[in-house]
Formats: sequence, C-alpha cells, structure tokens
Amino acid sequence: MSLRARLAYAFFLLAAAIGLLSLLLGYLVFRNLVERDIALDLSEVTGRVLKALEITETGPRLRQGDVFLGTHYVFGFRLSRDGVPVLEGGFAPKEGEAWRTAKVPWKEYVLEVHLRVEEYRRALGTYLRASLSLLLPLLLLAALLGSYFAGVLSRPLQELAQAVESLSALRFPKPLAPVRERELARVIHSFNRLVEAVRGALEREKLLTRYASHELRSPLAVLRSQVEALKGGLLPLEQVLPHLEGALARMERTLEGLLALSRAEGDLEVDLLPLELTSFLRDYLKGQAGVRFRRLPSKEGGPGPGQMDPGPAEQAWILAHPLLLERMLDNLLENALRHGAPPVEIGLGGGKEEVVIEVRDHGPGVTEEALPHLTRPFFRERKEREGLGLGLALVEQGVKRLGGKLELENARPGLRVRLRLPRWRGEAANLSR
Amino acid sequence: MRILVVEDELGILEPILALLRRERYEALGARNLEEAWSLLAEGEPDVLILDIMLPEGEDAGFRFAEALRQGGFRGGILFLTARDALEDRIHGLELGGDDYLVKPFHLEELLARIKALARRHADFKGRILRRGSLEVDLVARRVILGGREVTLSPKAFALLELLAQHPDRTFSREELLERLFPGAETDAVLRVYVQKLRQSLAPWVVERVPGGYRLGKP
Repeated sequence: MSLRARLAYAFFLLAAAIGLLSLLLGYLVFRNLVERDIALDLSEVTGRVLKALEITETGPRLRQGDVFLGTHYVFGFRLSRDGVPVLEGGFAPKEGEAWRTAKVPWKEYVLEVHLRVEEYRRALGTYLRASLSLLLPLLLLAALLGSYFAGVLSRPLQELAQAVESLSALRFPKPLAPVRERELARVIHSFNRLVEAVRGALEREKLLTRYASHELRSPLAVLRSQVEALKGGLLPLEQVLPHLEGALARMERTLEGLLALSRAEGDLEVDLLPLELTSFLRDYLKGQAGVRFRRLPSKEGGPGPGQMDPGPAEQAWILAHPLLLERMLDNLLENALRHGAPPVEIGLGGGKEEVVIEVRDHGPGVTEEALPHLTRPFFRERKEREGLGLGLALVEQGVKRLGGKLELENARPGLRVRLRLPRWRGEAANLSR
Repeated sequence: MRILVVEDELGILEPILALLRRERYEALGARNLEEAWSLLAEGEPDVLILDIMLPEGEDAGFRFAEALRQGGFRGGILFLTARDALEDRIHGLELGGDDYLVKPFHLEELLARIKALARRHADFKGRILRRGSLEVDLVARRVILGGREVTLSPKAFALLELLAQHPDRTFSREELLERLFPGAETDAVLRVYVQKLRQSLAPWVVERVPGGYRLGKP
C-alpha cells in the first residue's frame, strides 16, 4: 500500500470513527431526553386515570367527566384484578405502533396505562436519518482531504526516492527542492550534501586515475619505443638498456606516489586534537636546519618578527593531528628547499577566526601559468625536475581535512604557501592554564 | 623529406630518430623549444612531430604549433603526447595540427602516420609512381629501375621523392635548395645531386626546364 493511500485511509477511518462516535453520543443524549419526556407524560396520564377512578358496590368505575377530553395524549388503560381485566377504557396498543405501558397498583387492583409514543419514535428516526445522511459526505470529504494532504506530504518523499534510485545507479540527480517540513527538510539537505560528496569523491577519483594514467604513459612510451627499436635493430642493446631502467624506475616511483595518495585518504579518518601552533612549531623547527621562524604581522597588532616564546596572548590553537601537520610542513619545506632558494621561512599569524601558517622561500617562484596547477597530483612545473609532483596535492588534501584553505602565490622573490586554518576556541583557555 | 621531432624525453626521441633515418628521411631532433626554433631557422621541415608538455611548460607544444601556423608554416604537424583527453585532441587539431598520436605508441604506427601526412601534402596521392621502367615506392621508400632496386643516398632519395610527389610540377632552384639543402650558399650542391640521380638511374629522370627542374619522361 502506498503511503498516500495509507494516509488517505487513515484520514477516512479517523473521520468515520469521529463521525460515528458523535452520532452515537447525539443519539443517546436525544433518546435520554425523549425517554424523560415519555416518563413524564406517562406519569401525567397515569395520574389522570387514577384521579378519575373510584370504587362503587358494583366495582371500580370511572368518575363523571371524560378523562380523555382536553388532552392531546393518545392513551388507554386496563384495570385488572388477579390477572382478570375488570375495567378498560381509551385506546388499546396497536400492532406496528410505539406504545408505552405503566403498571401501578391501585387498591387491590393493578392499573395498566398505555401511552402512544409514536411521535417520539419518529423524531428519533428523523434525527438518526439526518445524522447518517450527513456522515456519508463528511467521510468522503475526509478521504479526499486525506488523499490530498498525503499527496502534498509524500511528493518530496517520492522525489527523494527517485533521486536515491538514480544515485544508486551513479546518475547524479539535480539538487532536491527545499521543503517546509523540518524533518523532511533535514533529510533533503543531507541527501543533497551526500550527492555532492559522492560526486566530488568520484570526480577526484576520476581525475586521479587520469593523472596517474597520464603519468604512466611517458615511461610506457619509452619502454615500448625502446623495445621496438631494439627489436627492429634500430638501436643497440647498450643504448637501450639505461632508458628501460630509467622508465621502470619512474613507473615504480609513480606507483609509490599513488600509494602515498591513497594512504593520505586514510588520514582523513584520524582524530583531530587541539594543538597550540607556537609551541608545536618551536618543537618542529628544532629538527629543521636552515629554516627561520617569523611572526606574521597581524591585524590585531601581534608581536614583532623573530619572537619565539609564546606569551598568553599569542596562542594559536587549531584542531589538527600533529603527525598530519608535520607531514604537511615536511612537504612544504622540502619543496621550498628543493625548488626554491634560502632563506626559507615559516611564519605564523592570523586573525580572530583563523590561524595562518606561511612557508616561503626566496627562489625564483613559479610561472603564473603554472600557479593554478601546483596542487594537481603529478604536476611538475618542469618535467626534468626530480620529484613526483605530489607534495602540494597531499598538503591540500590535509588542509581540507583540517577545514582550512591552501593559498599559493608568487612572493617575488620566492613562492609563498599559506595554510589558512580555522582558529579553535573550544577549551583553549582551560588548556592553556 | 625533412622531419623535425620535438620531444624532451631522450628515451622516446632516440628510437624515433633512428627509425626515421633507417627510412631514409632527414630526421632532426630537438629536446626543447629553443632547439626547435634554431633547427627551424635552418629550413622548414615537411613534417613536425611535436610533444605538448615540454620543458617550456605544460602547453608549450600547443603554443609552438599555434605560432608556427600563424607564421605560415605549411608542413604537417603531428602531436605525440601522453595527454589523451578528448579536449586536448580537439584543441591540438584546431590549433593547426594534422594528426594526434597518444603515448605509448607503436613506432610502425607513427611511421605510417608520417607517411600519410607526407602524402597529404603531395600532388601524387598514390603509393607507387611509375615513369617508364622507373618505379618510386613512396611508402616503402624504394626505387626500382627496370625491375632492379637501386639504393640511393638519403639526400638523393629526398630529391627524387619531392619530384615524384609532385610529378607535373616544376620546382625552381631556390625552392629545391630551401627545402632540401637549407643553408647552402650556392646551387652547386643541388647540381651535384641532380647529377647523382641521373647517373644512378637514367639521364631522363630529372629534366631541366627553364626556371628549374621537374620529373622527366623517358
């Protein structure tokens, strides 16, 4: 049964139950009223008869004056003694009509008074018919309304179901329209985010495969053309061999790089801890020769350059994993020392909302053309340079994990790499005490 | 026929040059654009084999091809690259490339494509040009005279090939010098090779007409 039918059915049942209940209650109340009226009428009529009865030598009889005159009641009576009728008068109950009977003892007799209550019965019947004939359209209306509301409520669900279906076939649905219902809205927002996340992951995967295949094509081309040249007698073995070895080594390095990238994906699952950067960097730089620490000028008037000891006001807390951060800095420093020129500086600064770590060298920088491609896996500005071109790709992955942004710019001289990380405020005050 | 190969990877450049030289092409190799420009200054190649990612940058090959075409380069351009994306192929062909081959590739396929490119720029589109008892196989790059194969030096073959590719055209001395002997001071070298062809094959093979030379008839 569809949700819509079920909701419509529920509406129908609810309306039917409410309608029937109100009908039943109304009927009971009405009937009570009627019964009370009947009882009153009956006692009045009985009183009349009793008032008119008298005993003579010949037995009981009605006193002068017609007990049946001057009243709108239709009734009759029967006086009996030991089950034998002795006096009767008025109307006797008729088959097919509603009559009520009251029995009262009178002297040694029993008086039975019959009252016709046909009007009351008809009134009750009319009431019932009217109520019932109203109930039917009411129920129909309830079912229609139920179906309509169910349709309104279930439309986003149906759209969601379709979207989930296409997503499971890896066809990416358009973002679902927001709805007003809070619970549904949450589901739909989450779903839209899921679609983006899946699409992003697949896109990254596809790009990586493309970069990797591209990266493998060059050494493969060397292998193939060298082998074919060898087979065709174009080149001697001793000339071919170093090229074959070189190409194989390059393929091995590429493979290692790919493994490093997939390991870095695993880093995304590490737990992040609060980390104070000034002391972290001080410890980190102890193991790094030829790297200078620098305080970045801050908008809020931070300490001057060259100061190393963190005062209470200079604490820069972030959420990070020390090993992850260390590996990112290793990569940046390796780049700076390998492709740039000394002095290499690590800077720390930031504002209210963020903390900035800056790594800068004083080398030639990169071409503006290459700048936007630097974080692409396997990108090398110059092909003849050693290295796989994965360092900055790994750093960018790490920065994203920490919720930050990676910025690259030519500082002329040198390349400036900035990690903008969100400042952590959580329990910084407590921890620093 | 002159072929210039621009490829920074020595492991790929060397086999290509060796192959082309075996096929008696005049093959030149450049490992970067600077070398390529200086080789170009010595004379335009008939076919250019061009890598896209060069030491000068990610798209250096594209830029080079574009500049050449804008400068009026008429030879064939074949991109030989690891970039296999559809947009790269389209971009390359739109810039003025004639063909696009993705690495890794087979040397034989590269050769077949170079020959197809050379044919595209020739008047004679067939494989074997026949003149009397002379047969010039432009694909196998062999010369047969009276049923017997004659081995020619690369330069002599290049001269015969050029004449055979355009069997009804008369080449001026200047054009022949520029295309076959770039940098030559006088036309003496041309006269030497015309003489060589006539000696190796038959005197009628190269016909001297007012204004230059053309393929002769027996």
